[in-house]
Amino acid sequence: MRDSSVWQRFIGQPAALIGALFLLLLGLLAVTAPWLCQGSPWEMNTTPMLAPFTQAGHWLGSDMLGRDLATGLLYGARVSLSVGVLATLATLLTGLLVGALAGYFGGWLDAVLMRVAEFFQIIPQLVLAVILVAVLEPSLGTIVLAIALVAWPAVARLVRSEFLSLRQREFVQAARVLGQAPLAIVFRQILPNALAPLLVTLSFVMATAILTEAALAFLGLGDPDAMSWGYMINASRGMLRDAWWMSLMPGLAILFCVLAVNRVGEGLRIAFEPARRPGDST
Amino acid sequence: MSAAQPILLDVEHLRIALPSGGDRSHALHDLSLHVREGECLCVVGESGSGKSMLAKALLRLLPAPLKIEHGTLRWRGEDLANLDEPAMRALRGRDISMVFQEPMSALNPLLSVGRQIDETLQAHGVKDRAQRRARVVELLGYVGLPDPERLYHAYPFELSGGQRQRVVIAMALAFAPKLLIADEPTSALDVTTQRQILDLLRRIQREQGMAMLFITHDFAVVEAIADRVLVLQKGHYVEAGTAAQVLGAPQQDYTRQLIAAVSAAPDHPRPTLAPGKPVLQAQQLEKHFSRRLGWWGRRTTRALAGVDLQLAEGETLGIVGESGSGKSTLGRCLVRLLRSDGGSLHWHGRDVTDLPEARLRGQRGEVQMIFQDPFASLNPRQRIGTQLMTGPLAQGRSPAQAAEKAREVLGLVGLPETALARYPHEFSGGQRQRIGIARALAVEPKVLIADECVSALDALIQVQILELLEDLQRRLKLSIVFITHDLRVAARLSDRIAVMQAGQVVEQGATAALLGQPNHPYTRRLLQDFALHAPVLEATP
Amino acid sequence: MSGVWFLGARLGRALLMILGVLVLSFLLVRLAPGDPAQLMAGEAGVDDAQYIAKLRSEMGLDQPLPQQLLHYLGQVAHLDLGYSYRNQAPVWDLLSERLPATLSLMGSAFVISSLFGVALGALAALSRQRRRWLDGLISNGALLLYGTPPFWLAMLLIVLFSVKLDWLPAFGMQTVAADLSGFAWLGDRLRHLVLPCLSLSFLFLALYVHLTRAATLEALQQEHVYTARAKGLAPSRIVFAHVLRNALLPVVTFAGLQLGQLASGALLIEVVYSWPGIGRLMYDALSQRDYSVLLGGFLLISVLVVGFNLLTDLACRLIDPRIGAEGAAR
Repeated sequence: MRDSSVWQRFIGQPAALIGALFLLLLGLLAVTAPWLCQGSPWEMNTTPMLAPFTQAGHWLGSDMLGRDLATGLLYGARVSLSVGVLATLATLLTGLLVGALAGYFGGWLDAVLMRVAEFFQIIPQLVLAVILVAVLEPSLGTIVLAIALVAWPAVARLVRSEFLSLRQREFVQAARVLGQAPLAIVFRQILPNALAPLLVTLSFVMATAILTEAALAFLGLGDPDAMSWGYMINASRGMLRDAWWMSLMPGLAILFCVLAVNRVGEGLRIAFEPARRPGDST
Repeated sequence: MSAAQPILLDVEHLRIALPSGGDRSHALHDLSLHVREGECLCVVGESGSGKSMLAKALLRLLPAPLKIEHGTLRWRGEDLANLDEPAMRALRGRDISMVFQEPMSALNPLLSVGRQIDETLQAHGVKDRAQRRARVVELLGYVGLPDPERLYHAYPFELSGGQRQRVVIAMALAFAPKLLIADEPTSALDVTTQRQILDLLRRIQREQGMAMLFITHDFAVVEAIADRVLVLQKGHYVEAGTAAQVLGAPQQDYTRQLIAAVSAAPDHPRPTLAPGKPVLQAQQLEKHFSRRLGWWGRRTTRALAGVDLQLAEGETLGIVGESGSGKSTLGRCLVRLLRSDGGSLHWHGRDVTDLPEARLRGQRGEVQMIFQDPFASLNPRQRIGTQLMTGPLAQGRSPAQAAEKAREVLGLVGLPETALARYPHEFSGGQRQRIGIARALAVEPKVLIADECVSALDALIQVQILELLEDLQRRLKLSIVFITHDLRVAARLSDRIAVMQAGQVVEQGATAALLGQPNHPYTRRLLQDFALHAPVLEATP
Repeated sequence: MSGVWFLGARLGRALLMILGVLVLSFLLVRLAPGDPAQLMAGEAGVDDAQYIAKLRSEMGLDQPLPQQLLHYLGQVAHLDLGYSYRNQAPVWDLLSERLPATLSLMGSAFVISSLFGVALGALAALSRQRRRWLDGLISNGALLLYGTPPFWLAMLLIVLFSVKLDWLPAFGMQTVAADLSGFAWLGDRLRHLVLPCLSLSFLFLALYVHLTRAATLEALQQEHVYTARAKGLAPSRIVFAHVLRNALLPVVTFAGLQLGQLASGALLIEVVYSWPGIGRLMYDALSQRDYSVLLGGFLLISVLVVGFNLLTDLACRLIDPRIGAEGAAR
């Protein structure tokens, strides 16, 4: 176990493995949704308020306008996963840039950037996202932008602290003394060691992105062309008394998605932990 | 101490099992020892000898996965296994106290030092607050701390390392314990403070008639403080006896090796040096560091205040100083990890003081560095082979040449070729330090700057590394700058020694001359503090 | 840094942040596509040309940007947060009317989530040795709560407690048109508070549990805990004075940062329960694109959050003497 690679340590954890498989499966379903389902999720093609498991072809029932819930769930997966991935990428780019600048140059630039990051972390993030999306009119782009705008500080702070600490590490200094070029040092010494905590942080960013998108859609600020899980929950709000299952399934979908991402992140954290030599402390 | 004193602590056939999966099955195998009233027993061993586990087992504070498999512990005749936890708690801190290695982490950073001593008194039943406070102030004064009334409210971070250790000792003395277990209490301190703490402990022992179980890895400390000595190796008993017996006439080879490891005498006579141009020269080197304080305001420290140095070919120059003397900064300036703020630096006669990094890179192969921490100086995510090839590749060799060089230097430091495919975590501290040396040698340097490169290693491994360095120096005609806080290591290895204090070289000269007739008061004081083993120092051939 | 210096520096930082919020809300309107005056008039007022003209001159849209900003800052300083055409009332009046409702919701949720969260988190960490199952139960429970969208959880609670069991009301802050007084009035208000408060608490409960557990585990590993045991201190004393006290610091820091999220969560909860607070107001304003209300709400909430953050900063200083101290080598 000591000499196993990162990959082996990752798949050795059941929770992380299940999470990863779930996400892969979900991704697959999401991508193939147009072929798996008949028609778009907006199509009102059946009796309204059908309970699940009561009619073939509509296994998960229908909503109050007669739209198939299963189709809605699958298309919702497309939204959640695409927003999750895109927002995470945007956050990564912004956070990486800011964090690297702050960590590399230091001085007043660092101080200013960190104050800005702190600012964006303290103010109510969802509220800001709501206003931003409202002002710019909801679309996939604005949603991704809004999420990235409130999520980048966490990544920037991490990149900066990794940069600062790794720069001082003796093996990086050794590389300098050996004459390795700065760019080579960044890519071969610093980044591989910064990768681990970065990946873990990104998984939390993705989980938050999925929850934020759901919240925005719930408030009516989702992409108007997309059937998002949050939208489905909102739509079911009036039906709590008569068709409570309508709200159950999209909510569970969000929950499982976030749990899976979270477990994968946790699995990565444990997998990347440097191997310890047993008996290192007597 | 006469042998007629009653036995306080009696350990018989103690065996402590380690959790399975480790490289050892037991921390201690069948250990027996005893401590009499008022005497000081030193338990000596390297890391992995089980000595720390012994201390923890005595107070029944072994970490959860370990347990006492076998053996009896008797305190004043009573078997400790018969005591339940509340009774054990009554014993701890009162009759048997413990002092630890790291005073900073031993104290709670969020409580004042007075409060932390106070709570010991409170826990063992002293109800009256005024009485407790008086006792705390008395204890703080007893251990030699100035202004105890004010110090009561101080926090650990406001005190120096030596002061914190005194606080920990004061805490341990709260109820005038019969036995003090000291687990490497001076290892984290600089040599002057070490001396002071050892003197303090000896004084307390004398005045209170307190027995001490003193755990250490350093035979120099044993010499200073022990009545009796017990040597451990990998959990096994090696030998024991009075201090005079073990130090003067050690029976076992292991003990002999440990004692020899702290000698300041070089193993082989140093060869005479041919005169020649200096390979490394520093003139009036200066370096400041400034730290931002709040919104505006800076604090500038002068790490180097005008240092002059020369290194001749084939020579070993030892740079000795305590922490804060600037020796590490000097090392980094010599190897151009830092750019000096004043003065000049010459490598092989060429001025490299202000050379821009890009132009310097091609010449970097000439002067290389060996770092202190074997665990931090290797990239944990790269294979050894890749790391050894970094230097040659950076200096323009082809991958094939670099690979060949990697194999070659690995052989030079005595490691097998199979190491190339492995990761750092698979090696021990000593082996990693060898890899660090190999990495430096891969670019064929003429000068090595060794920055405290053996400080983090066990005594016997230290000796191995030092011998390796000497051997390499002879074979490859290297010149070495050896930076250390340990005067005896410097004395053992160096042709000349430079003593540093507060950013300046206060004295430098040939080793024998400097040690025999020191001029500067600081050098004299250092010698005194290290003269824990003056007899050993004089054994220069 | 002495205490006063510290306070001054932190206060300065807080003021700077509030300034940042103001500048941000100012920019949001100006940078959006379209005419800022039309934006601020909202869907309700956009047809009223006279109103738009008045707005335009009030906002000083013909003046250079920096001057507009100063003008805006001056307005805010006088508590003039604009006018809501749809509600036909100044924004400040609308907000201040609803502030107590939001504060009572956020306040009660904060108290419940932090108290229970910290207690459960500490319990989980301390149980790891002897009662591992308890740690597993608490940690996994927290994990589950973390992944649950708060608005969905709120709806599920409504289904369970209101629809199925009919124990608690699911709408509003008090029973409308009932003429209650004294204890009955208080009881009614409390009954209405339960579900919204619980819904909002659950998410933060999870976060506090996770954080406190991690901080406590770390504190347990510290050397000084070992020293405390070697001194013969009673276990209870060790837990409270040496473990929990040290674990508390990151938790308090976190509490300060989380307030923004608490406010965001409150918005969602108010929507689900039709709780008459600022969040609900903003939701209604959303559909009408009534930006004066939206920005006003954002401003007010942000100022509250920054202010509270300042308080937790000061609390940190009380707990850890090293913060802001000059000689500290952290």
